[in-house]
Amino acid sequence: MNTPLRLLLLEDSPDDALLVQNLLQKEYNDQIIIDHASTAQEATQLALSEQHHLFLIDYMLGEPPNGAEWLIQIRQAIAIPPVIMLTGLPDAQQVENIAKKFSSISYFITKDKIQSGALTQAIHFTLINRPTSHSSKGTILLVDDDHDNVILIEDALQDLDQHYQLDAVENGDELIDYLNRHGQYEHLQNTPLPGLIMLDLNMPRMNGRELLKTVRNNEHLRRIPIVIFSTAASEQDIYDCYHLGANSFIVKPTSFNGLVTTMRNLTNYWFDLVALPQTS
Amino acid sequence: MSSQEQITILMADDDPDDRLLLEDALEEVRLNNQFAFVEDGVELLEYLHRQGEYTHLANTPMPGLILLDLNMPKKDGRQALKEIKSDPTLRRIPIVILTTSKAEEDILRSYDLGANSFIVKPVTFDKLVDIVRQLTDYWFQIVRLPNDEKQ
Repeated sequence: MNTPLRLLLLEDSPDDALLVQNLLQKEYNDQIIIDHASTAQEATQLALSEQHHLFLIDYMLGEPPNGAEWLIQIRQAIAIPPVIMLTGLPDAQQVENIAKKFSSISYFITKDKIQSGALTQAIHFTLINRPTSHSSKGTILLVDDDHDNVILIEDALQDLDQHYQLDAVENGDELIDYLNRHGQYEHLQNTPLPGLIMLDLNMPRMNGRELLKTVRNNEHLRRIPIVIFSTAASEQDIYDCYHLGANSFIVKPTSFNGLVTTMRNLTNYWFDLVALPQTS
Repeated sequence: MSSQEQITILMADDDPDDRLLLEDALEEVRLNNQFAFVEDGVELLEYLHRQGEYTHLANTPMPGLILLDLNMPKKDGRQALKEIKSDPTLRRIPIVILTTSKAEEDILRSYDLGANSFIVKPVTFDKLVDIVRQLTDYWFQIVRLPNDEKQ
């Protein structure tokens, strides 16, 4: 099993801190350890003394620095893990400006949404991107911009006898950053590259074929096998993907049981039968 | 899957014993696919281009899957792989390297050249049957292969 998730919560409002703590303890039981800091100073001490998998940070603190400024400070001292930022401000433009400055911020969650499942979903997603544990047979990188799909495939993998690490990225920039261990993926620098990439072809906000080309044209990355995973496919799609260098093409089963069978066969094939390239 | 039987598996291997063993293994897993052999890289390319002794195949479908040995006379598997994967009319055809070589360099280079998978040939027949079963389950049950007729 995975070691418990260790999380640093920087939140100056006692009510909000309690809300988050209760919600997460209920969701994760003993699978989560929460170090709570009420001030930036306390947070610094905790961040320096413990290794955290995740920072959960309130943007607006009672006194300076604010959450984002604190991140700048602490970044000088340690490699920061993924960050989820809590914010009361619904100003989309401001949120975007902050996010641009911090590639390690994975999510912004407005405080009114904490209880709606947004926080647990964001944490679930971050959990998926944790470094490989030792018992894992291998890492699969899933490129998919639909969180529900990622969770479904994670669930199907959980049903197998072997443990596989599933990492997920949701667009081309993240994919390249992930593979190059850059930006928010710097903490994976000493982790081997994934044995296999699963690429969703039916992403509404990006072009899977372009991503396939991008990886295949990159000298260092092109040897990683890519399996296209698609909900529906025309013969033309299938032909084009092979032509562009996909290693195989799979039409996603519609039932969960079908998905488990496919994932079992797929992982047996690529991680037991096939010799994968060493990509360290 | 009714159309599966029409898909031809093409094996390129210079060793007659290996070809026979593979044919037996395919029978063992009751695979009904068409099965064809070539003995070296030159024959493989002629087969795919329907040249030389293969002109009579001109109007038949291309193989659905190629099993390619790396070490062969005349033109070896590495060169054949490179030529097929740089040919726009052929590169879509999945190629599984099936070889006794475990050399890291062969594995890396094969993927770099566009091999769809790399499998190390087992020593025993029983193991070969296992491998053929897994290989054909994957490529014919789980995966969708490119279909030539629609092109």
